Amino acid sequence: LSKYRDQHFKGSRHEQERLLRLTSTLYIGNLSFYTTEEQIHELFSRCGDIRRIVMGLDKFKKTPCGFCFVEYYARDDAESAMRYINGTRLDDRIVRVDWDAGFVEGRQ
Amino acid sequence: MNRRRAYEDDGDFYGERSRKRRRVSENQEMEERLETLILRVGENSSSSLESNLEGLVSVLESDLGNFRSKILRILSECPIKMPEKCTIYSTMVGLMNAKNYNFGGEFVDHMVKTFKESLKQCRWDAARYALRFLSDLVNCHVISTNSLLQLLDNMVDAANEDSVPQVRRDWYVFAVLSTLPWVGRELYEKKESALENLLVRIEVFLNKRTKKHHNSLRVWSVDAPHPQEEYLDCLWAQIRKLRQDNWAEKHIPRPYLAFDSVLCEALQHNLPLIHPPPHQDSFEYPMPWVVYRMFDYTDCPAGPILPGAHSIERFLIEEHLHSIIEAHHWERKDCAANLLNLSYKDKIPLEYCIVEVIFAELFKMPTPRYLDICYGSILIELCKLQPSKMPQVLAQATEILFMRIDSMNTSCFDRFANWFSYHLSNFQFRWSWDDWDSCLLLEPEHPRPKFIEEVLLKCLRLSYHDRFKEMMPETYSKLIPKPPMPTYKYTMEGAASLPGTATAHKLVVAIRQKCTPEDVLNELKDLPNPRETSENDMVESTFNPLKIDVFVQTLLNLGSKSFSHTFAAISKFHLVFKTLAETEEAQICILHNVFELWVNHQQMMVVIIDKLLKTQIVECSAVATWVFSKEMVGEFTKMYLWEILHLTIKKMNQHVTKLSKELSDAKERLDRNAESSSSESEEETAPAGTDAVTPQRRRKKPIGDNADKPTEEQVERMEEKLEAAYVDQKRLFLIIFQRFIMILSEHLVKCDTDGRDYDTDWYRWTVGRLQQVFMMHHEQVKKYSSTLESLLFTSDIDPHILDVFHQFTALRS
Repeated sequence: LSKYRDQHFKGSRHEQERLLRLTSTLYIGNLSFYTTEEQIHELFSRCGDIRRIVMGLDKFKKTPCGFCFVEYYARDDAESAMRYINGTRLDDRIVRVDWDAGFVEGRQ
Repeated sequence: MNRRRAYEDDGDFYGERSRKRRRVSENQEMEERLETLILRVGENSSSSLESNLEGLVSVLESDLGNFRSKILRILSECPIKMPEKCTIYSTMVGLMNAKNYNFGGEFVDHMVKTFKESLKQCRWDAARYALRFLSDLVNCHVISTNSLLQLLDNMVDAANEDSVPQVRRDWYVFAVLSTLPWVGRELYEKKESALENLLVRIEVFLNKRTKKHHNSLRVWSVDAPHPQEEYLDCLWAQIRKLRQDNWAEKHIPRPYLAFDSVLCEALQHNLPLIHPPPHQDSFEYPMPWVVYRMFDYTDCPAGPILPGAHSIERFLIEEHLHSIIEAHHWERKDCAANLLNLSYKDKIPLEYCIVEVIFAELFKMPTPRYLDICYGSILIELCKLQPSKMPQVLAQATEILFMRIDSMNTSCFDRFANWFSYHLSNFQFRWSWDDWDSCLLLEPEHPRPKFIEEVLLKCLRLSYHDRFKEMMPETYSKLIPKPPMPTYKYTMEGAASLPGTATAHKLVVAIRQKCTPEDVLNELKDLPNPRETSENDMVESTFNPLKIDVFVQTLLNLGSKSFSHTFAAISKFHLVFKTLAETEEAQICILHNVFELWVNHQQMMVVIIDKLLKTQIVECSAVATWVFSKEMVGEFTKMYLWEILHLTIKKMNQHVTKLSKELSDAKERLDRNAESSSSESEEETAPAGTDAVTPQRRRKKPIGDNADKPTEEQVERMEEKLEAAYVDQKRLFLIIFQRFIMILSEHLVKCDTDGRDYDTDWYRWTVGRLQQVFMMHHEQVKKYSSTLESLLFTSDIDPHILDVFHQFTALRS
């Protein structure tokens, strides 16, 4: 587990830790504003079958703003993405991959 | 220092050390200290290995009283988990034996037990490393030469058993041959004639072996410039060369040589008589493989000389590098660092050896050990760690692979294209494309222009279309993919004359105004059915291709902004899809309309079809039939179409695997409950766990279990479901293989009657794709081998096609 924590998580620290150990969702950071869902899909599907991708959107402009969530069906696949994609490049930027306790509508 | 991490998941061996520490007793702490000392011996240290070994041995000796069993266990596990440190541990055991003969005896017994257990449990590599360790103990005067020879002889006996699979016999010979680099010299000096006799028996065995599997496992079909040798043949040639050199090899470090005076005084033990466990049908043996070769010494002119293909050093280096990858594949940075830190690094062109071994794994047939991206990310890491050498070697390797691509098998072609595009995306897509522009003159179906085309398509998926203008020389314009836009016919010029245009436009308005699925069906209601107006009034089905056409293309075009929009559109109008897609014909029609709209966006097609399968709008068999349909002939040799077929097969396989796991779980629960009702008290008296479980909660548990208990009826229903899934799976494979046989036979017959050469680019791609289906899904396909043999791959089909099937069945025979 890594240092990144969702600051707005509702629930105890302990609860958050527990979810992070079970989750198949990843937070992807340091993306370019122009990186599309398609590009993310292509890269991350090399680690396994993706359930969904949620693009992070700017609160007001509703445009992509450099992060997204990738949810896999299987925990193992998310783990592979953590291992092999974190710290490599997409659109010439070094992407950051972290565990996420699971996406809840509105977080983007 | 990284050693610890690699084995983290080995439970009590290392796990959770730091958390435990505070609670453990002094004894445990001591045990852990011993363990760390043993594990880390031989790692970089300021003093010499010899003095470290001596020191450690005296520590262990004094602790034998308290920690005997612990020491036995760690010392026997280490050479199996870290086979590259075999000789370090054999030296340790040798020194222990010299001081304490009884301990030596106990250790040999323990090791023999480990070896036998591994054989019984089909842990073949562990067994091989245990055997290697036993042999190396001969070098340390722990085990007598005669008793080892007896064991090796028994193993060759196992290779000569009748009516057992060849893969079993192969393994026993492989295990014996691969220990000879360690102990060959000692046997040669002490028992030359017995060793010769052993080798003669092995040679007889090898000469009788069948090698039908060989061709399907090769990366390249031709043997120039490097032969793709079958693994036992290659190892045999290497051992023969070693024998010629009087069993002197230059790779294995042998710390025991420094302790010769101590060790030669020690008394030896005899191994007990060991009989290999007899074959059982449930045993799975390693599949044969082909030794991957892409470099020889002329490829690496500067620096140390690359050992030849038949020198034992090449075998030892490769085995060592493979085992580093195995130990560290989960941590790419450690993996790269450990590869570059190979103990023998100054005497060989290390970067070449590493690159060759990584491509050997990536191209391994039938499937690589790990995910493709695992190798890709290790290569990136290697380039980062060794920026002065690695990128050049890798570029040279890419060049070589590209030059030899004409005879590369199709599965490897795909992996190569996927890797290369991924690698480029991590290095700003920089590549000297000009070097390859002579390929632009070749036929477009030729593997070289095809490779470039597919790589560019993959690059497009990882970047964006405008990038190609800066990235590619102008000469490549004809291979650059079209912009990935939808082609929506109902707004294009001339749309007015199309029969569905008016409805399509009404549909656009309706969907924009957030209409319901029922509204859509209403809009479509009045579209005429082109099939009814023609001769076949007899058709009873409600299948109306025009309805599907208007609906599918309009809806997907409205959702064309992103994958998310498309997925949302599909799930919102799921009902409409289901209503229209009643028959397989209708499902194929849907697929075809997806293709028409998205002909320039392959990735979109892939994800849409994946979604249609997941939402059960189309069935797997429909996708398979569509792939081979007339409409797709022009797309037939393109990679994405096979990406779609394989994802479809995988979906089917996962479904079967899931159902069969559910069933076996349910059965287990049923059995367990039947038992536990009679022995409920057992759970009560179980030792109290560390968690404070209240008595009430514990008593409740069995009741809770009973609530989960499936009824016989439920299990029966699950059995039926699984049975049905097997039928579907079998049908899917039958469709695919039947289509392959049809188009290949048609081609062969036509070429025969026209007097043309059948061996065209199209033919090679198609046979390659057939092979790929066998290889990629071999675990699942093997269940249907006998059905396939009796229904499809019969003796009356063309031998070229039949051969592919026979190669596949030979993998496990």
